[in-house]
Amino acid sequence: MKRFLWAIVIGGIAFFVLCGAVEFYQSRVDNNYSYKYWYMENHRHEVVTLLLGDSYIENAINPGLMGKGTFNLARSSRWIYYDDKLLEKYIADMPNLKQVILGMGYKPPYFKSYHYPESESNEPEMNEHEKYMYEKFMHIRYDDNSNHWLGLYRGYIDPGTLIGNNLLCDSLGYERVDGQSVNWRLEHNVDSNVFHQKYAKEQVAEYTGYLKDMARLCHLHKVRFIVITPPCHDSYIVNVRQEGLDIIHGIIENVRSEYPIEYIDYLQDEEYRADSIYRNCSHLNSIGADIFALRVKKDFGL
Amino acid sequence: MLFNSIQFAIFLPIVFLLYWFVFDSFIKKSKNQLRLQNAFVVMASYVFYGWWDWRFLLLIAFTSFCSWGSGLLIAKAETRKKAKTWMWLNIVLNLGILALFKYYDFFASEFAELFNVSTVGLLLKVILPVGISFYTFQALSYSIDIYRGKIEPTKDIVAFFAFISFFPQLVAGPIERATNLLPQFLKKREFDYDNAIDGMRQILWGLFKKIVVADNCAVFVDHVFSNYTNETGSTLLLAAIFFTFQIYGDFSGYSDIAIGTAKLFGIKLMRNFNVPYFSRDIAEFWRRWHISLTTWFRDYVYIPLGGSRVSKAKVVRNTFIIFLVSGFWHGANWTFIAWGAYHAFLFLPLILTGKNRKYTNQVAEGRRLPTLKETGQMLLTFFLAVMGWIIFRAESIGQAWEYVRGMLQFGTLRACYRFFTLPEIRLTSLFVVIMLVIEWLQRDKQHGFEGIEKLYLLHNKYLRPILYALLLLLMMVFGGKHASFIYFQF
Repeated sequence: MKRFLWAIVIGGIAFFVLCGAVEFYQSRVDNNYSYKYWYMENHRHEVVTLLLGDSYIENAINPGLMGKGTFNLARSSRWIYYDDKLLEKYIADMPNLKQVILGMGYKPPYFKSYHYPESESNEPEMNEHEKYMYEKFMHIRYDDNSNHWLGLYRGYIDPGTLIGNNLLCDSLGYERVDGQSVNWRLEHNVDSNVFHQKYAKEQVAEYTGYLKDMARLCHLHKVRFIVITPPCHDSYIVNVRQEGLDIIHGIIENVRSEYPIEYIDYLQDEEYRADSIYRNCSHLNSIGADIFALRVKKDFGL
Repeated sequence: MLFNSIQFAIFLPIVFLLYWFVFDSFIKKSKNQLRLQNAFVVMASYVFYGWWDWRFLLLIAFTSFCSWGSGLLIAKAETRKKAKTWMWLNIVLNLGILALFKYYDFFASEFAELFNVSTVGLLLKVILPVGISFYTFQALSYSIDIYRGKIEPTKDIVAFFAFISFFPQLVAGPIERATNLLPQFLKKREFDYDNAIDGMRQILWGLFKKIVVADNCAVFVDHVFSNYTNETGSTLLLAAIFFTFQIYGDFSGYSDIAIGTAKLFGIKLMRNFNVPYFSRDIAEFWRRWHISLTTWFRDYVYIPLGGSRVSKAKVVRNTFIIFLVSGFWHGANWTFIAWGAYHAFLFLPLILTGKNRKYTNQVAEGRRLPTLKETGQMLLTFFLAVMGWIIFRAESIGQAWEYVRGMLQFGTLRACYRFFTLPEIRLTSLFVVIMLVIEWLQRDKQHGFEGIEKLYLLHNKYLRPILYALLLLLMMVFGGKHASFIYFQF
């Protein structure tokens, strides 16, 4: 028995030492989260235009074309909670900030969790990967009980983020994606059941709450608050429903009733019908990101 | 409490230490030492089981008590007829409980649909107690074996309760026979280092199959099966193959963890899987898949019906009965019955031509690689199993049919695109290949990690625990998100 217990103790120590090594290694490897955090900690005073949102913004607006002082703080797959918390954390100490541009896609207000089957059946929970990455690299906790270790060791973390250098964005936070996915028309189809998910209403209400809070913060600090719905390809739009559009426009009107908010819906804009500007049916590629950045700049007079 | 949960990672060491240090060494001199240790097993098992829902405990305690009592009454009966009556009373009681919880609503709703009556007030809508099919069958084997004179009834109610509720195999098997497990609770267990180390390795292997293989396959499988009407043939085929590995990794992984855990407590459970996807025909597949259930049906249903030593018409009848009942055991849905019938059709030609026991040895015995013929046989059997799993996984027979129809429409090569573009699928495929290679190399062993200390790097006794820890860490990092075990629902 003594021999067995020793084997377990040695194995246990080795396990915890390895866990420590993973933590140490991770803290030495850069990724988009750690870079964006570093930038905001060190260069927030220079930021004039701050881009927030998910992949619809991170990959779809090239900040280099939007004028000096633009930084893309958006992060793929994030829930609006993190945008609100980032804004809350930094806005008071951003003397040059003139406008905040937030992307609001057609689907994201319904998906707190990006695991679709789970969203349909269970109460949506925050994506564990996001929890882990924001907590570890941007020091924003989702809730008091969240623990990035649990996320890591329950297999919720994308192994790629643990192994390699995942710094994919440029110095202005833009993650450039060239060309198209192989099955670009087929991926990211609009789920027609999205409005009828069990918790769709609750998620939209939660989303509206965070959006309103961001509008409040901008209003308080005399910063323009701009919301845009990025363009999508025809193969995506064919599944878009008026019911869904009414909901996202309703969210904007709800916020506008209390705080100033500027909004343009580019979802079905005629300028974005060419196949060549899309990475997949709902995301622009680098060609599209350049075109879109210039358009947003022009439309909002930046 | 799930084997792959934090709670179990805390529960197991506590129970292990108390079992060996308090209820074995510390109270060694007590004449009730064995009884106290068994009582502790029952208590720990009830905590484990009650973690889901404490109300389930009342049911398992009732089943255990009735089966224990019936055993004594069977043995005491003055005539064979009376003994038979007690045995049947226990069977009816146990199957009645099972039917009530598992099948009543199914039959009631089918009845309502057939006669076009409302189901309002007709359905019970009770929660299905976890693992009820497993422990009910275990309890049944006890009274039947006493009636058959295979074992003596035990007066030790604590040992009997430990036999029914032993936590490693309580909720998803292996379905133990009283002849194997009960005597182990009636005698003192000795801690054996080699056995315990082998148990730890088996747990690790089971976790790999469950967390890394099955849970990663589940992500793709769940997505495709819930959107099967929008998917192309090659995607559907790929998802069906992934489900074939998912269910194997899930269930055999659970069995390995259960058997390995039992070894830590000095208990030997029966083998439940023996590399079924290396079978050369369906008969061999069924000798290697869920062995504890198939042998249960063989011994308690098939052979009493006459088995294969009767007329051909009766052989056909017996084969269908055993496969249909086996399918229905999995759940109250026509898909399970259809799955059973599908396998009966595959099995019949073999048994009618006397070829059902053609392959009783291990494939490529004494050789490193199989012959071309063996490879072809294994692939064909695997493909037949895949088709069966589609029926099993589908929500309804209609869905299974639509799925198979969709699979035959190879309009695009989207699955191949997916395969090469999605890193998750590439990674999951790699894990499946690793599992298959290890299982192939270890096919004459009890599990994938048996005897691995003889391998080159693992010779060093200090290096071994470090490598195990590394493997555990990698498993956690690369593990999928699907937490529960498929067979819990049965």
